[in-house]
Amino acid sequence: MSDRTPGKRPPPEDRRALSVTINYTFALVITTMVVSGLFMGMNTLLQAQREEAIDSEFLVLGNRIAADLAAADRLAQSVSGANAHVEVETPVPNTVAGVPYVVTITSSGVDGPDGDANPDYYLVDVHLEADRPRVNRTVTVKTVTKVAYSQLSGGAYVIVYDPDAPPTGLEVKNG
Amino acid sequence: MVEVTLPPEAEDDRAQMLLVGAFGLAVMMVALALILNTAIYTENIATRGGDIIGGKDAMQYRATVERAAGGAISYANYHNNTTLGNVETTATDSMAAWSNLSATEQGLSGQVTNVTVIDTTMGTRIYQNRVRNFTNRTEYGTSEVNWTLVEHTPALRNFSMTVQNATVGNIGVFSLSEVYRFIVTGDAGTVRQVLIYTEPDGSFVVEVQDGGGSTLDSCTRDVGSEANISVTGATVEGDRCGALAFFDALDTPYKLTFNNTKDGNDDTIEGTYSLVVAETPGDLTTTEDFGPLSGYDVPDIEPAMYSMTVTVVYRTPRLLYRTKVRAAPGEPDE
Repeated sequence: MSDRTPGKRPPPEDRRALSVTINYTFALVITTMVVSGLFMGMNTLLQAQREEAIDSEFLVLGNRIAADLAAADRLAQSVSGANAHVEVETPVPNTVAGVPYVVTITSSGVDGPDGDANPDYYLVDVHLEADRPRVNRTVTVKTVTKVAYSQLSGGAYVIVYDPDAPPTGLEVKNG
Repeated sequence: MVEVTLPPEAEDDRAQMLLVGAFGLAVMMVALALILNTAIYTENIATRGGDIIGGKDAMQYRATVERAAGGAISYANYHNNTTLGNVETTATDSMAAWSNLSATEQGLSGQVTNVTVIDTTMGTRIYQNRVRNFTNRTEYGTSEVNWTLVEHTPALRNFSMTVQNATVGNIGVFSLSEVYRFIVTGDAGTVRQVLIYTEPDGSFVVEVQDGGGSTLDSCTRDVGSEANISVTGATVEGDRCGALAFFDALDTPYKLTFNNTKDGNDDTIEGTYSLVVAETPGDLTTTEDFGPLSGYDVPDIEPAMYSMTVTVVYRTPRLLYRTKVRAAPGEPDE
């Protein structure tokens, strides 16, 4: 009993009915579970914050594009003549919080009570959409000039009005 | 002694797990910071408001160009009106010089501008500068009571007259059909007669009738010794007179006649007048009714520019704006 090898100690006797091995395993497992729980919570927080950041940036970008469309519309109404031309540049980032996105611009004419066939004004929807995470937002603006349909990815935009070249009316293009 | 401490080897292993966990969390927090960073940039962009692209400035510049072109036309008509060619050259050179000056001034604040004249319409200014009756050229004591100033002009602008109140016919003395009127006839035969007379109580009346003699509208004013009437501007003594805004009812070309310039007793309305028509002196068919005539005060004509069309280009870093602007000062509102 007394001739043990040096360095090796006999397992301590205790009354806790819990051996060291199980104690050790428990500590390891509990620590692992707590830490990975923290990881998962952090991941969820990251995802949620990312979605919120993308959403708020979509709101700002959508309103900016809409404001520039409205300004281009006002300028387009004031020009006349054969070589009339209006170009408005709208710098727009390529990605939002590291996520690429697509901007779709559609317009529908609204007929007023004046009785003629031409729409009195157009309701233009600026729709921004990102795929992963799935976030989308639509901003609506009213214009007097017709706006052509376009679907663009992120990048600098140019809003062009050229009454001579088709499509007559405002068009948002990648500049 | 009861061993209550754990073997030393076990403690080190557990600490590694916490360390790895802490490092992983730290990396995730850095990623979170990057995501929130874009949100800060977005919020900053959102606070920028106002007229970033310069659209309002572009439209303001367009209005300035229209005024400048009108000023160039007026100056050339007044100062360099010996021949049509002189008027045109002076006006276009003025616009070119103005464009250069304005481009330098705009360039200081970061805009690039340019104004080029693309078209001009020449015409004639018909005027009577000295107070005199409204008959045509008096020669050897004869002049016409009713005469035509212009037969068929494509357009007229800046028509104004000043009449001496004491010489205006009073309908207490004369009948309405005897007082002076000028008549503008449109292409389809639509007629507007503008009668000028005073009431028995002394108030000054401008009345607009149609071809059949029925009254359409009138303005009554109290005026001093002179009454200033702007026909194309639709004002009498500076106050708006809606009756005179009749040009939208008439189709071009216009014919203008002065009628009842003298009544039987030779009492005549006196004053001055001026208008610009879009027919050049060479095309005008009524030149015998005008001067000059030495020894006599007569109405006269001179070469003038009727209108000028320019192209305006206005550029800012985010905007290109190009449009055509037509200047014809004093043209009646359509």
